[in-house]
Amino acid sequence: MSGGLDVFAVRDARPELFRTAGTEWRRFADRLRARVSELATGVQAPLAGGQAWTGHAQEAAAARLDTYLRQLRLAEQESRTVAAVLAGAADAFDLAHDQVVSLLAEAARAGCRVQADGGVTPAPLTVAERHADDPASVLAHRRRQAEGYAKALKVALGDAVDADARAAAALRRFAASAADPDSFQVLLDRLAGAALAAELSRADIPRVGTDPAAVHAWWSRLDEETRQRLVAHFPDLVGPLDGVPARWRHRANVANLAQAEARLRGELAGLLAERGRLAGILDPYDDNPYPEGADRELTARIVALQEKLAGIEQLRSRIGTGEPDERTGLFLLKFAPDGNGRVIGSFGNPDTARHVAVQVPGTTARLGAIDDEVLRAQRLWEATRRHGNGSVASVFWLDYDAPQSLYLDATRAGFATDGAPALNGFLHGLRSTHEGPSSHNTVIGHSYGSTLIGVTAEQHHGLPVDDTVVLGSPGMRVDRVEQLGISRQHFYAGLAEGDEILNARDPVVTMSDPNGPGTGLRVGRETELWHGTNPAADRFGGQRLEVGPGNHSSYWNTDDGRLDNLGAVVSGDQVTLRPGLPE
Amino acid sequence: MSGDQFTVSPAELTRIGRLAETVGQGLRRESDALTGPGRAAAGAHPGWAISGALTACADGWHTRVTGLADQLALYGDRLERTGQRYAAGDARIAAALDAIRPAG
Repeated sequence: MSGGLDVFAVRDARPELFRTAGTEWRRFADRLRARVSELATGVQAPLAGGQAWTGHAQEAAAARLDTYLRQLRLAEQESRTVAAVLAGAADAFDLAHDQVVSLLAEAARAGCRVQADGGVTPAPLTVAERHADDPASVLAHRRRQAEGYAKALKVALGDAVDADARAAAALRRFAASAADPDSFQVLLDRLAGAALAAELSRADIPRVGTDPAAVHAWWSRLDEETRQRLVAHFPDLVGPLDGVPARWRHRANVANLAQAEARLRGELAGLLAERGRLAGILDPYDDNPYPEGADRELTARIVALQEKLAGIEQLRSRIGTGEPDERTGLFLLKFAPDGNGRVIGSFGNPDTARHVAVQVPGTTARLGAIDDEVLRAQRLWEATRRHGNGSVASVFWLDYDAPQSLYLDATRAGFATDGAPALNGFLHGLRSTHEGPSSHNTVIGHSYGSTLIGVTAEQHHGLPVDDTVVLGSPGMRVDRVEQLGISRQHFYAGLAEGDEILNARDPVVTMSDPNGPGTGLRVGRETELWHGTNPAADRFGGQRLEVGPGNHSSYWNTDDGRLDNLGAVVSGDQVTLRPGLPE
Repeated sequence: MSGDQFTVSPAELTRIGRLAETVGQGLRRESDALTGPGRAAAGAHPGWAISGALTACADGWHTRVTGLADQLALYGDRLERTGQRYAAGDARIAAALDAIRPAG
């Protein structure tokens, strides 16, 4: 009666009991395997080899033993699958249980009453609130809050009910196969049960976007065998999941990289063949079944694919084979070829490093040009290590659709708004998976990457990092650093003298000049750029980092030591500052 | 081996029979592990569909495995006794032949 579950039953659940039962089934399977081995070597081999016996009676005895061994092997296989079903169910119940417990506590703190079916009654107004200025808006706020809890509880309850039903269905199939393991129908059911067991695991992997702390708690409860199984079977789900430790994400993403490469190479071969065919057809005297420009479109797709594959090859050559070295290896924390490509990598393991830098690139960042990001992360890693303040992980984070065009895309805030949840999730994930004392984390945004950081900080009232750096920023969508939930002492803006970003004066302000179009084509101030106040300006309220002269791309130059100052921020060392831009 | 011929090593047959019997008896004891933890989990989760299904699954496989274990133990016992009978028969025949004495 799965439909009879309520939130209190999920709250009171003890998933560890199912995990224990699963462990017993697995141990039993191990014992069965040992018994089969004992029989095979100690009885079957001498019986079949003729050392003990030959003749009609021996043949009958050998045939009978074969039957027993087959049935024991089947029982071993079944026991392992039941163990996997129980482990998967326990994981799913754990997740739902934790969510329900956390939501009930939150609702109680807010004074709400929760019913068994997940309905939530808002806290009533106090006498003082009833006589305050606007009791209706307070009540409306409480209702919305209660609705939010009710909705979240319904989702958690639904997850538990689904997991319960799936596990029960799988176990019933195994019960049927115990009754008659030799029948054809039961064999089919058994196979379906095994498929269901796999599906159970897939369905119970938390979705991308789940609170990384909850993901990490879930992952920590899994045994080694289950983790390996999940990574082997579902790398696409495990690879991008914030809250899963870097070593496991790396394994999953290496598989994702290989799969994507194979798929893209297949696509490229198809497109090249198509272009070859098209070249034969594009005779002006022949009927041309393709619309005008089809060859150009095809060529553009081929070039885009070739560029992505070049990026994949670069990553592959950087990663090498085998497990990455803890302190120096490149960990692949996300890989997906969708859109312009989503890639996160880290020099050094961010889960064990003392200092962690996360660099967010800006306009034109993409898989096809990933070597730029890899190189910048590596150079910062080297510069930070030189400060000698402990181990360092340097991350390049390209998990958003970066603008690809300076004037068409980079003036719009939509790319930052869309990317903010992923950045916030990743930064929180680093906190949840870190081993030992908390690391010193710094997020660094270059160009439009700083705009994304600004939007993320504003949306989430701060960032789960210790220090924030922006380089060549066109603005962070706020006027002052306080609006980001970041204190002045932990905010640094680097702006090279000669950085072309100073040309990114706000065209919207200019074009919406009240005097009408045409008259507004004036040049704005250096302190007011496309996305708001220049973070390097005095009035933004942050600290201006000394980065020397140069241009928009010279922040990672290694020949003049300027990167050492950025490394000083990342390693928590003494930083050199300079005056901010005046009005 | 075909036809009416056969060979036998009674001591070896007795040994492997005893081993099969021991494995069967051990398996019977070990199969009890299937039901205990499952019952504890099911008992703590009344109203959950998994509870009834797990109990049915554990009971079904416990019955199946203990039945198999009993058959295996019986099979081993039969092999062991067969070996012993071959040995005893051989000794009996030898004794009977020894008992033949010239008349007088």
